[in-house]
Amino acid sequence: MRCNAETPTQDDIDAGIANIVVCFVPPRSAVFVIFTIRQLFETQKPWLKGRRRSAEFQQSTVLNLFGAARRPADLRVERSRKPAVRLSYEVSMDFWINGRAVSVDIDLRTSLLDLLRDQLSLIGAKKGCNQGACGACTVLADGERINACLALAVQYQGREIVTVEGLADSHGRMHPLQAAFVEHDGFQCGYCTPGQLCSAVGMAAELARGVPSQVTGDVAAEGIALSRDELRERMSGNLCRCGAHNGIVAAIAETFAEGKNAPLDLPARSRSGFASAEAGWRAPSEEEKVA
Amino acid sequence: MNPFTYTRPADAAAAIHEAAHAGARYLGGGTNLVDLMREGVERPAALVDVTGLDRTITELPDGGLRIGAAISNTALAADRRVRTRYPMLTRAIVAGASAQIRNMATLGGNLLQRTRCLYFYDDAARCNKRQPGSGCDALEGFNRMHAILGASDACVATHPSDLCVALAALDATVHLEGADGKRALPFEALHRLPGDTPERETELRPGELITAIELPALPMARRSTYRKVRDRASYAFALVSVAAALEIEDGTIKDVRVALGGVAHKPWRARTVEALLRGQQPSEEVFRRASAGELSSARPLRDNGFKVELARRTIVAVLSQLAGGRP
Ligand SMILES: Cc1cc2nc3c(=O)[nH]c(=O)nc-3n(C[C@H](O)[C@H](O)[C@H](O)COP(=O)(O)OP(=O)(O)OC[C@H]3O[C@@H](n4cnc5c(N)ncnc54)[C@H](O)[C@@H]3O)c2cc1C
Ligand code: SF4
Repeated sequence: MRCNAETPTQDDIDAGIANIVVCFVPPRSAVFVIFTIRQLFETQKPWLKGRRRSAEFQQSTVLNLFGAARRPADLRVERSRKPAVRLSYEVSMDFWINGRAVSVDIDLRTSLLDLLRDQLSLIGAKKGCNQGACGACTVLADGERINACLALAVQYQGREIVTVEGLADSHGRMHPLQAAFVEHDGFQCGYCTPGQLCSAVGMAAELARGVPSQVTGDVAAEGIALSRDELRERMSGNLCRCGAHNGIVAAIAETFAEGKNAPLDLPARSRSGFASAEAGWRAPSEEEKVA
Repeated sequence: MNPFTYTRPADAAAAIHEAAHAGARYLGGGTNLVDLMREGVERPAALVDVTGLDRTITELPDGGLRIGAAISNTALAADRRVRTRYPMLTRAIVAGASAQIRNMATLGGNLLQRTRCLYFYDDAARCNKRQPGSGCDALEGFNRMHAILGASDACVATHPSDLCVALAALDATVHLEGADGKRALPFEALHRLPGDTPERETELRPGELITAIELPALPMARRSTYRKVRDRASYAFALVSVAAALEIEDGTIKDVRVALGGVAHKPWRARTVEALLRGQQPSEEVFRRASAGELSSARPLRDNGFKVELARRTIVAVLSQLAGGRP
């Protein structure tokens, strides 16, 4: 074990062996205990029982602190850069993300959210609770909204993933919903916003497909109007701690008022087509990977 | 999270073969299993992803439906045949979790999701379900969410599913496939009460795969519903929930189905309510007597006595609503 108080290098992080230092002061003790993240996770010290969540939190906090001290570009993991040490359970995977084919070598345990944020620097989707309870990590998979934190990346190979970074059109113009969020003050701190946006796009598609909700009067009837009650219930998987809900509801209601906007500009976004969930797994061809 | 291997078989036979390895687990949408792996409660050595298996809904000759276990909760709730013939099932599904989770979650995974007892998640606590023989911190602890029916001194956890409550009321059949071949179980026989072995939650044999659910033809289910009572209006687990269908002919109750959620270690088919109601003339008084009969065996804990009255009232409210012709 190395015990370095210095910033870990990107190679260390890539290799998954970074001795990222976690310091915490045990109660009634002035001694700093320094452990590597890997030891925290891999040894089951009895006194650490029940502390895994806080260890994870410290890990991300420390990473954020280090990240903040450096230029963002330094955190970008280059696709060409192979990890120095390959863990035995690391495998090569192919993804479709925001219309582009991506190949990465990652640990099988990587969540879709960690893949996006830590490996691909797509930091729009946020890690809020990391247990499916807040919706900040919402992205679209084959046009359906999902919680990227509960998804193992390996399960989403060959599926069409769209994150908030992929909502703008091919000319970089904001999605109408994004513009409406600005117009209606649909956020304060902005942490839940990428999740709210992706969720609302998925919600509009569900409504168009006739998926009922808990507040739908007659679930057997065809065609559901986007009433305020429907909208609020359907967006209940996305929490906003600032309380910007009124602006959020107004922005979504305006954007998806009857027949106004298609949820996504599908052809521009998608190479494989959003039907791939039914068609099953499809890896990008070599040609597509280069492009 | 412990390391594991991952496979995504294309058919049930291959999945069962893969699951024969020691420590293997089936993986649906992962919304429960991945969370529990992250907490260290589950430590599978191999994940067998079954989301590529049968996810279709097919008509049975008698008018029932056969549903592949890999179907997403959303797709099941939105199917037109399900919405019109079994509205309680659609309503139960959309009352659960969030739209994002329902999009990810499979039917099979929803059936086998594990309890939300906080002590089960917390590996610093004693829990007979997580670690048999260690004790149960919920008995004397914070047990507001826990069971009032059918619990034991070993475990007072509840089954968290909404979907399953409707399946219990509808007399569904669970189709299983394992190394020893195929078999079918009545839905009510799938989940177990805790007894002395709360770690054994279902009658599934090791490595057995849920392949499909069958819903019998049940015309009375067209007039059925699901009501869930919880701490907030959406996106929370049930304190109490009721799935019910009611058939009234010539002013008397010809048939009735009632199942409860949030009250027991398994989806609770309220057979006593049903027996007390058949042949009666529907009235609030009759509904009240029937629900009191079901709850007479309730054994509330320190914090959850309110559930007894809540369950009684919710049963009465739902049956009154159905008797009044409102679905
Ligand atoms: C924040 C949050 C809130 C929630 N709220 C609710 C709620 O209000 N109501 C509700 O009902 N649920 C709720 N849930 C739970 C959710 O419905 C379940 O997590 C989901 O249904 C599980 O399905 P899955 O496919 O993701 O299962 P997984 O997590 O993939 O698997 C769950 C279990 O099922 C087993 N399994 C999966 N498929 C099969 C199969 N075919 N055969 C045999 N075994 C199989 C797995 O091995 C595992 O043990 C909530 C979940 C979260 C995270
Ligand atoms: S109620 Fe059951 S799950 Fe909860 S702590 Fe007790 S034994 Fe464990």
